[in-house]
This record gives sequence, structure tokens and C-alpha cells, in this order.
Amino acid sequence: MATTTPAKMIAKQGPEGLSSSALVSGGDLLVRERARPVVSTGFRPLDALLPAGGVRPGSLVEWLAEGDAGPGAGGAASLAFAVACRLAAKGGGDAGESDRPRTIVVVDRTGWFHPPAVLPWLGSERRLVVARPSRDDDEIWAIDQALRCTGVAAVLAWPRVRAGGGRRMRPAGGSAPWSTAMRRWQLAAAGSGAVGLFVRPLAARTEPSWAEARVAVSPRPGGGLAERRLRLTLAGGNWSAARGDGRRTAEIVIDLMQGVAGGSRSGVGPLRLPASASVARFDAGGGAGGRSGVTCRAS
Amino acid sequence: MPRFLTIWLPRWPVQRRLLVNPELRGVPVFVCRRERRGAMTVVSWAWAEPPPEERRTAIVAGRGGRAVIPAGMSLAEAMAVLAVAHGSRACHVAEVQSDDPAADREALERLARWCRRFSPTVGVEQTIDLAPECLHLDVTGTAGFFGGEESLVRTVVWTLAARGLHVRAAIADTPGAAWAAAHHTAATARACGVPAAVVVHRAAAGVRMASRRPRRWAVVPRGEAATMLAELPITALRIDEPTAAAVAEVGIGTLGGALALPPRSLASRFPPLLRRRLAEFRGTLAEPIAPPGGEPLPQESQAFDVPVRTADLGEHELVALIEVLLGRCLVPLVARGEGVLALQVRLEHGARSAMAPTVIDVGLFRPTAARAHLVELVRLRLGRMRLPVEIDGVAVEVIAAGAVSCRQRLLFGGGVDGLESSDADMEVAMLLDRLAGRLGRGAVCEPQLVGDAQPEHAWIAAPPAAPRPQGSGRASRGRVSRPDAHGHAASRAWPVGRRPVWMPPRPVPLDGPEGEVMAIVPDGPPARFRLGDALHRVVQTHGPERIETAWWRGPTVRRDYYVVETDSGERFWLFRRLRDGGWFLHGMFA
Repeated sequence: MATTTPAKMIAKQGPEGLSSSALVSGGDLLVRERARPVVSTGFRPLDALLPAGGVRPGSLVEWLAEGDAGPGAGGAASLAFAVACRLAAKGGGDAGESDRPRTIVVVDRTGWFHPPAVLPWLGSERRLVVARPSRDDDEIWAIDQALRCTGVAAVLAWPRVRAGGGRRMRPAGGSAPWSTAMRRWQLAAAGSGAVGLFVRPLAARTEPSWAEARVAVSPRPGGGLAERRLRLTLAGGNWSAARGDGRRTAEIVIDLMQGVAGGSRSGVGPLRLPASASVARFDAGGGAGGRSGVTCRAS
Repeated sequence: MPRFLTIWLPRWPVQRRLLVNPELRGVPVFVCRRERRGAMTVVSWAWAEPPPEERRTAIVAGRGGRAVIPAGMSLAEAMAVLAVAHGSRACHVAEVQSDDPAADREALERLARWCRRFSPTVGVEQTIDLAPECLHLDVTGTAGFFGGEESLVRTVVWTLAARGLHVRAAIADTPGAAWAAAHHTAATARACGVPAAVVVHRAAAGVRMASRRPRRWAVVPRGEAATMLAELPITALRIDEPTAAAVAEVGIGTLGGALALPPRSLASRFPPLLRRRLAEFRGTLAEPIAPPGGEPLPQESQAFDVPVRTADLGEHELVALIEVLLGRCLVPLVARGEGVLALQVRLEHGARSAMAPTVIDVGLFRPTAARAHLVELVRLRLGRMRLPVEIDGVAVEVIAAGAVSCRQRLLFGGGVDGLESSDADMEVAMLLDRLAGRLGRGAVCEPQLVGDAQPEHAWIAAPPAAPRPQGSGRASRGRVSRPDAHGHAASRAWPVGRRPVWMPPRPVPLDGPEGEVMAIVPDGPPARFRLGDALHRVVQTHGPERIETAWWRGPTVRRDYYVVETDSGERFWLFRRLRDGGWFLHGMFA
């Protein structure tokens, strides 16, 4: 099969034959990326927090979860998936309305992703595909390929997290390959319009990043079983590194039934949360010694 | 004298499913038929690759490690037998699928068409009441092209093994004799004076190891079938159980004994099936081989005059040659509106070195006739494999084909009636093929919910299917109604927010070095728990949610699940095992 490479094209056309349409430069990608309409995440406080006022198709967003490694138990992966669902429903990209990408690709190197938690959020139009690479280079390649696909709305991954023994997750590798891989992903996303959503441990905020925004996610106590309260802090990013001072925060509530914004506390702008936010209580269904629970029985 | 080759594919219903879902090789697979009163009976079952630790555990525990489950046994009994032989965990991971005889036969006919490379006359065996598992080939005069009958039958076994199929094969004078020999290859080999086991050399971790395996092929010399196969059991005559019982009543248990019966007494004493099978075995009654219908799938090959070193050839030239051959294969397919669903590229280097060819299998999730896409998938596989030093030729063969959906697009975008797949779906389909090509088909899935309360089995990793038409199918938002593996609607059986995003493959015990749980009241919810080095204070609990599994699935699972929220806002999913009160971590609401 004849492959098209810049060297071959130059040899075929001559240096003067290289028109602007023959090779797509980084500047073209940037112009194309900036021309895409910004998509709202569905969470107004989060939109106000992000530099572009939402998620720009063809960009990367990092979600920094508390903990040493892995998504932890703070709700960062849930938020990232909720945003992915929103992108699959409202995402723009280069496709038209009828050709809107509606597929979400999850690249799960650990094998710990549990789809039943989020499958109800997909609705009838969206589609979830899970890829489980077994090697580091396969993981980088799979994310790259998914981000290059114009039919993909969002790619969700927790790269460089490995499943260790027991409950433990451990980070892997140095930072140099990570930066290279992330640059590759950024170019891939800019070319297709897909959005890369990466859940990473908070400790990774010192590493270089090509993401348009980095958002630190920390859970807030309280809320019922059907919702999740999260506190978000802008922690930098490629285009917003100067503003990554940690002073811009917001609080959102995720409706776990549909993966959308929930609750009434959806203010915009910096929030100062009361220190007494964590109130210990037991709900009526369980609590101390409560036996009135839900029983599921296999049939 | 005519010669016939019989290929036996033991437990074909299971093997067919393993070809489609290779990830099932590590779990017991049951193919069951639903009877009139709702009971499930086992049609076929197999555990292709039990994990080594399971085998060691079975031996240590004094279990047999081998379950004998005949066809027709109820699923509940089969699970009990499996639990005794392999432990209760085998029941938990077992996969139960519905019987589909039509699909089994269709796949067998496809394989028969593929086997036309060995003989122009290939057919599926004609069975009376059982599902067919054998192919008959008329190899009269064709064995010489493969270096003799022994070489032919060995090539058949090895080539099919390269496709992931476990087969046994034998050559004899009649299809009946070949059938009997194929089902008893080791005994036939012994009778023919050939070792019943072959020594297989393989290198593992740099150490060359040799192991003995039962011979999977046999060749019965011409005119000696009655002599060589005389000691085989009477069931080798392809007779049903009542006929075998009638023969056993007169004290005949071997094939040789049945052959010695006077022909005149057969009609009056035994069912007519016995006389017919004996006649077919002797060759006095012809047994026609009915070739399957349908067009043969295309294949193209290019042989070199001299062996070519792959280092000199280069990957680009090799891919270019494969592309040319692939283009020729696509011509007849495109003419009849079909595309490639599975493709095999073979780098032949066996004529001189007696080695099996290097095989590149490419599977697709939907048929395609796009040559560039297929070549890219082949290139992905080529880049990850070690090529042989020299090759004699290249062969490209279409293994499976399917109808390509043609799209009629509207002027301003969108498919007709919204039922056609969009460009985005086409792009996703090609992405899935690429991912599966490099990561493996089992590593790419489309999760689907199943109606199972046990969290480990609440979803299946279904192979990605063709895109669903937009706006059709499922129920309203917030309610899940997806078809499960058996085509039934699986409704969500748990309240919202009670399933974690992050779940370890196995529950993590919290009563050991990994953690510790403290509860205020006995059998109550946890008040504090330690996970590794971190101590979490629980401020809110939801539960208990009791989950029990049915008794017929093996040892009962009885758990009380709690969603616990700590003072830092993190949510964990813990459960207490009701059998002994042990606490486990089973997920994190990441």
C-alpha cells in the first residue's frame, strides 16, 4: 500500500507543490480547534471555572482526584463520565448535527472500571465502548487512536495507573514519556474534535501537561444516595497555567440518577464552604443497626 | 478405492462460541436448551483453559479436577458436578448460553466451505437426532498434493488448530470407518502400530520442554478398516442409545463383534439403523456427501520461485503484496454485495522446513469491502509479530463474509428514515477494528447489563455490535432496558447510586493486613474502617442492601452491602459476608 508521508509528497510535488491543504500545520490545528463552539459541561459552576467557559471540542481536560494513585473514591471519575455523556449528547466537533459523534470510549488499563454504575446515564442515543489494553504502549496507542476518530465524542482514561495487589493502585513510569504521549493526544484530539478526559491523582499536578484545563476534584460530605457533592478547583492547564493558583473554586452536585447537574446549590464563581459542612448522620434506610434495606435476589 | 477424511470437532457448540468470544476460554461454558417446563438441560459444555491455580487448588483439595457432564443433564445437576470437581468458584464464573442449533450448523457449513482447500467434495455429516459435529471429505486422489495421507491429515489438524479449533481427524475407506477412527484416534493408532501419543516440543521462558500428547489423527490402511477398528466400542458405529442397548443385550460390545453378526439375522433382531450403519461402514451402502450451499469464499496466493528473506523483503513490500492479493479477493465479494468479516493471511514457509505457516488472523466487527482499512489492520498485526526468516509465498483468504449495508444519503445529511448508520458510526466501526486488531478482540467490548444481582456478574463484556439506529430501541432515560446476552431485556435491579464506578475484580478482605472494620453494634453498619494505612471515620451509611444468589448457581452468596461515606466525603462500598461476618471492600465511588 502506498503510504503518504511528507517526504514522499515533497519528492512527488516538489517543495513548491506543498499547498496549505497538503499538510496540516500546528497552527492550522489551533485555528480549527479555536473555531469549534464550546460545549457546556452541564454544570454551570464548572463552565464558569473552565477557561473557555466549557469544554472545547478537540481539547484535553485533566481531573485530579485526591489520593496517591488512581481515581480514588472522591467522585472525579463520575464527574468526568458525566461530562463525557454531555459531550456525546451535545458535542460539536467537525461533524454536523446528523453526524454528531455519540460514542464514549473508556480506555481502562486497570480492569477496575465498573460500567453498571454509569450505563444508566447513556440514554438511548449514546454508546459506550471499553478498551482494556494490557501494556503501557498499547494504552498510549489506544487513547491516541480513539482521540483521532471523528466518531468519538469523548475518551475517558486514567493513564499511568496500574492495579497492584489488593486495593492498591500505583503510578507508573516517569514524566518524560507522559508529556510526549499527552502532546500526541492533544494533536490527535485537535484534529478530530474528540475530547480527552483524563482522571489522574492529585500528585500529578506537578507534572507538565498539555491539557486545556486541570480541575482538582475533592468530595464534600453530605447529600443523599442519589447525588454527589463535589468541590472543584482550577489547578492549571496549558492555556490557563497563569491562573492555576487554586483560588478559583466551585461546588457542584451530580445527580447520580441521570449523570447531570443536580441539587439546588449551583452557584457560579468562588465559593467559600463552611467548615461545618461535614455533618455526621445516618439515613433512614440504614444507619446504626438499621435493618430496613434493599434486598436483591438473583433469579 | 475411495478414501475419506473425517474431521471431528468435539463440543462444536462450545467451540463456536469460543471462536466468537475468546475471553470465554478461561471460564466454564455451558450451552443449554430450555425444556418445556422451564428447566435447562446441558447440550454441550467445556472449560477450554482452566487457570493453573485452579488446577493446583483442586488437586490440593482432593477433588478430581475433571467434571464429567453428559449431554442431557440438567443445569442444576451440572453445576453441582462442576462444584465438586472444580470448586464453587467455577460455578460463579461459569457462562451459560442458550442453544442455537441453526447457528451451529451454519458455522459448520462455513467451515466446510473453508475446507475445500483439502478436497473439492466436503460436506457436513448427516445425523439423525444429534447436532452434527463432523465434516466428511472425499480425499480420493488428493492426498498426493499434500505429501501423502499422513501428511494431509496432520496438516488438517494443525491448520485448524492455528484457527483456534480443537479437532481430531482420520482417513479410512468409508465415511463410517473414518468417523469411527476420528472419534478414537489413539486406539486406532495403537491398532495400526503407531504410537498413540506424540511428543510436542515447546520453549517456555527460554527452556525447551517436551510433553506427550494424545495423537489427534489417524490413518487406517486401505482395506483393513474391519481389522484395525475391531476393538472400538459399538458406539463407534454412529448408532443411537436404544440400538446400542439392543446390541449389548446379546453380549456384543465392540465394533468387531457387530461386524461378525450374520447379515440375515440383523433385520429380524435389531433396529434397522444397525444394518444401515454396518453397510455404510463396509462401503456396501454409499453415503453421499452433500456439499453445503453458498458461494465459496475467495482466496488468493502468491508463491515465490525461491525462498525470500523477510529482512530483504521489508514490511512495505510485504504489505503491498498482501494488498494486491486482497484486492483480488474483494472483487467477487463486492460483485455480490458482500464484505470481509474475517480474514486470514498466511506466510507460507512450510514446504521445505515442515513448519506450519505463520498465520495472521484479522477479525472485524462489521463487514467491510474497504481495502485500505483491511490492509491497515493487517499492518497493525504485522508490526507486532516476529516474522519468519524466510517465506515461500503469501496467501490471503477470506474466512467469513457478510452483506455490506449500502447507504442512501439525503441531500442535506442524515440517513433515510434515520435508520442508516452515519459517517460517525462508520468511523467508530473502523476504530473498533483497529483496537481489536492490536489489543485483541477480547480487549474491546461494549458493556451490557444483565439481570443478575451479584455485582460481579451484573454486566457482560459483549463484543461491539453494529451501531443501533438513532432514536430506536431502548426505553426512556433513567430506566435501563437493554438486551442481555440471551436477548432478554435486563432491567436495573438496584437503586440509583448504589453501584460504584471503581470495582476490584475480587472483593478485598478488610479483616487482614489490607484493612480492618469496627462497628458499634454487632451485625450493624461500620463506624470506622482502616484501608491500608488510612483510617476512615464513617459519617453516613446507606443500607444494608442484601444480595443473595440462587442455590442452583452453586454455593450461595449472601452479603449485606453498605454505601459508606467518610468524613472526608469519600464513598466506599463495603459488604459483610453473612456466612461468617467477614468484611470486604467491593468498590469505590470514584
